[in-house]
Amino acid sequence: MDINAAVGGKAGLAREQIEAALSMQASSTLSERERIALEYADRVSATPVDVPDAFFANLQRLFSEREIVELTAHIAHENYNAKSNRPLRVEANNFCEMPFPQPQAKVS
Amino acid sequence: MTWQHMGAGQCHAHGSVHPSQPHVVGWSDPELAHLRYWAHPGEHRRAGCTDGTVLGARIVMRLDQAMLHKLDEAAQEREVATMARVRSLEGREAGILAGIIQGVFRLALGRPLNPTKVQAHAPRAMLASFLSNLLFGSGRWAVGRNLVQMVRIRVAARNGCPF
Repeated sequence: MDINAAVGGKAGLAREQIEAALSMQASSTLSERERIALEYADRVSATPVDVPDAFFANLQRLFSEREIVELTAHIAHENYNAKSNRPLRVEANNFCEMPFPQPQAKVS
Repeated sequence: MTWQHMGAGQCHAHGSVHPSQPHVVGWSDPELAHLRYWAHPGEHRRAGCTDGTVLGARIVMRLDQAMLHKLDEAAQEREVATMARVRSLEGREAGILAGIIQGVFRLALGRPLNPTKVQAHAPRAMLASFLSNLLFGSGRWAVGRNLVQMVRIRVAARNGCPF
């Protein structure tokens, strides 16, 4: 979260956009493209991956094929990063001063 | 004399409570008990404490001059793992490749990244991560840099990855 929020902030992301991405809840401040992209990130990150045809058709309405492939690659790559860091409890470098939600440990 | 985890509480140096990182560490020697620091980078320095430097998952302490007579030379700089489950590797211990990659991050961002220190245990995995992040983090993306960062923040949050 930390480095992506810092890089995003530097690239011009508004605080509201960062908070909306962190909050896991629908936000009225987001555009339709942003909202669908975040939902796509949720669906691709789920195990098993859950992208039904109806949702993908909606995605195709808003994004070109190239954009969809890029989004998918970034989401998959960030999952690789996060799933490498989280089990090893790699901590943030604190580039971003925003407060982040504390990770919830699941007990099975 | 060893580090000990003091648990939640107030920072004795400046008396404030940091809400998200309530971990305080300090020396076990009661005479040095006032040398306690938040395990939180930046927070301590912003609060006016200059003699403690916290580097992500590890803490490097440089004791103030008045206390040095109490410590042997080797104790002037101590490290303790606070969170990471795998020991962070730096310097000679990390190896040449990790040293180069950490040097690149030090030049670009001012400090080596915590994942690199951990990944130094497995150089090929570290190199794969470094190169892929380099490619994904550079150039123009048709979908737009802002949207890329938003989905990356969401994925990191979903996975509970603070880094």
